[in-house]
Amino acid sequence: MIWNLIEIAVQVGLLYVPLVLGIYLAMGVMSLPDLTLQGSFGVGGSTAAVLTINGQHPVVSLGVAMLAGAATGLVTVLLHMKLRLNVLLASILVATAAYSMCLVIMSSGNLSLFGTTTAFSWADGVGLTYREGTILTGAGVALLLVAVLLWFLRTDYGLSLVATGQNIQTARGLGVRTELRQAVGLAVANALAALSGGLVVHNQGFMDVTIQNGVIVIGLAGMMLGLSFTRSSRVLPILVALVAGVVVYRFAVATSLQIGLNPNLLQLLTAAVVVVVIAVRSQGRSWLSTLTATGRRQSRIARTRYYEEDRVASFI
Amino acid sequence: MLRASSDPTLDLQLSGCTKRFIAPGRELVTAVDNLSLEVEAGTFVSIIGSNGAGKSTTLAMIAGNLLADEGHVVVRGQDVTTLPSWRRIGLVSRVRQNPQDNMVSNLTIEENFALALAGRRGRFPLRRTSPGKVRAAAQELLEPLGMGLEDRLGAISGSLSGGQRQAIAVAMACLGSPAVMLLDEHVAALDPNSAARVNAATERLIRERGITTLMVTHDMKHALDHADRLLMMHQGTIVVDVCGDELTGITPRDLQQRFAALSGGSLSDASLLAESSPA
Ligand SMILES: Nc1ncnc2c1ncn2[C@@H]1O[C@H](COP(=O)(O)OP(=O)(O)O)[C@@H](O)[C@H]1O
Ligand SMILES: [Mg+2]
Repeated sequence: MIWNLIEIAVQVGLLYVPLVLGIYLAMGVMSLPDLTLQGSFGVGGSTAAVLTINGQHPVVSLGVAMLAGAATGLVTVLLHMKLRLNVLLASILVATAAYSMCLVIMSSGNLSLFGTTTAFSWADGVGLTYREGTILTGAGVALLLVAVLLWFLRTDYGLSLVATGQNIQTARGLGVRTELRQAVGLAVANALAALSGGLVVHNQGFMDVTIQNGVIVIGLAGMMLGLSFTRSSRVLPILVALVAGVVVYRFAVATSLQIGLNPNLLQLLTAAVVVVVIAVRSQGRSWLSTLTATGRRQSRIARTRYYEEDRVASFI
Repeated sequence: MLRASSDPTLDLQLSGCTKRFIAPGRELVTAVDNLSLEVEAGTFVSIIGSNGAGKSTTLAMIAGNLLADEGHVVVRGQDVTTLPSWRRIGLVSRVRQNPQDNMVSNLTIEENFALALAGRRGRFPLRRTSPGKVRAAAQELLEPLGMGLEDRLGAISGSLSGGQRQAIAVAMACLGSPAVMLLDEHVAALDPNSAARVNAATERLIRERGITTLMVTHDMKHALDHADRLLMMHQGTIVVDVCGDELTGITPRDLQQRFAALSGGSLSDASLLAESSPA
């Protein structure tokens, strides 16, 4: 049974790897709280569904889905750059609009891909089960993306992206046109989210506009779990940990459902995973030390320090 | 106004530069007030002045982090008044007070140099600058500092001490020999020992290359002993400008007295300066 759960976790988890990499690129590398990713997941799913039903090759439909996602991300960037809107606010607006865009693209609320050729249909032709085909396709995509990101983030261009996400003033002082890097970073991140949406739709054989609901938290859960596996600041360990994180997250979900968790509580579980991981990462050791008086003093000081250093930035 | 822009011996010309800020409470603060300045190529200029005198604002207008409300900034004959900072770095480089602001802290020293090199070339290609080239450039600049940094190119820069990071920042700012180097209290956040070492390293690097330099400092003695020219700023203008022989005859005490007189005997300002300069 446990083997079955692992297989499910790998099968589903790998489909969300592009989303998690996109979230990491936007939030981890660029330090931009971009919620457009959620909308791009849906836009990618609907685009891939429509093109596949129209008989397009799976690679074409996923490729165009990625372009659609990148365009969605660029709308957020344009709002940020031209109207000087805060990225979080801009992305909430665009993600909301993207929901309607999905309905426009599909001209209905849901579509079935029954009988079409998807990115997973090849398994049947070579005598593999659907699950094996899914895992192989997902693993291939994940491997390719990790390799490309690993290469990209080490090029001079990639380094300038990392610098932009770390400190805009420093990056500009090194000659980086930071506004352009933010645009490129968010476009790529949203293309990745759209690819994830396309893969999920191809895999489950239908598209429903609600698949994007809460998907950002799924990605966050995978990312936070993954980042808790490594303390390195180097790219390779982080990318590997992210892939592992999303698979472990799907394993937790599969196990919970197996032992009888009410599916309605799934979103609650996901949010709880994020909170618990963050709590363990930031509080784990200090929680143990509250058993002693000095430990309690230390954690009180740490808390005060956090409140003292807290900052707000106006959105409007 | 740009009459002198044809003069090849001038690396920096500010003419009538003004910068105003809207302070909280909506009152207008004139941080830099109609400031004009010409600096000959290869000069090492020290700038002193109390807090809020407009020193940082002046440097930021030259580097492009702030754009002047009025006036012109001309660097080596090129009018850069409205250019964004990232397009000025071939001409101007700036080192700030806070070590975190000068290097990308989650990248290695080598990666920081790779970025700085790419920036000077004005191209960030989709490939890596050859590690040999980066290392050679880094070693050439870091070795003379005598801090052993050339052997630690693989270290994550966030793990280095403030003094090490400031020394590296000055070295990175020398890449490609910019026309003007701006140092904004770049040793102020360091302990006295590191400050002295970074000051020595800085002077060696810029003197060797003959880079025109504006250095903001609170250390009057250092300013008097090492600079070719000394400016004192007060309320957004230059109130003292001495160079050459005049400079050698002055003591920190003289400076304080001149400053107190010029600033209308404003005691708080004068004492602020006295405090930060070891007599
Ligand atoms: N971003 C800003 N917003 C509002 N006021 C500012 C800003 N930057 C500087 N000022 C004001 O401009 C004046 C000059 O500041 P600054 O150039 O930083 O002085 P210095 O570096 O000589 O200490 C000060 O009165 C300061 O309060
Ligand atoms: Mg200052």
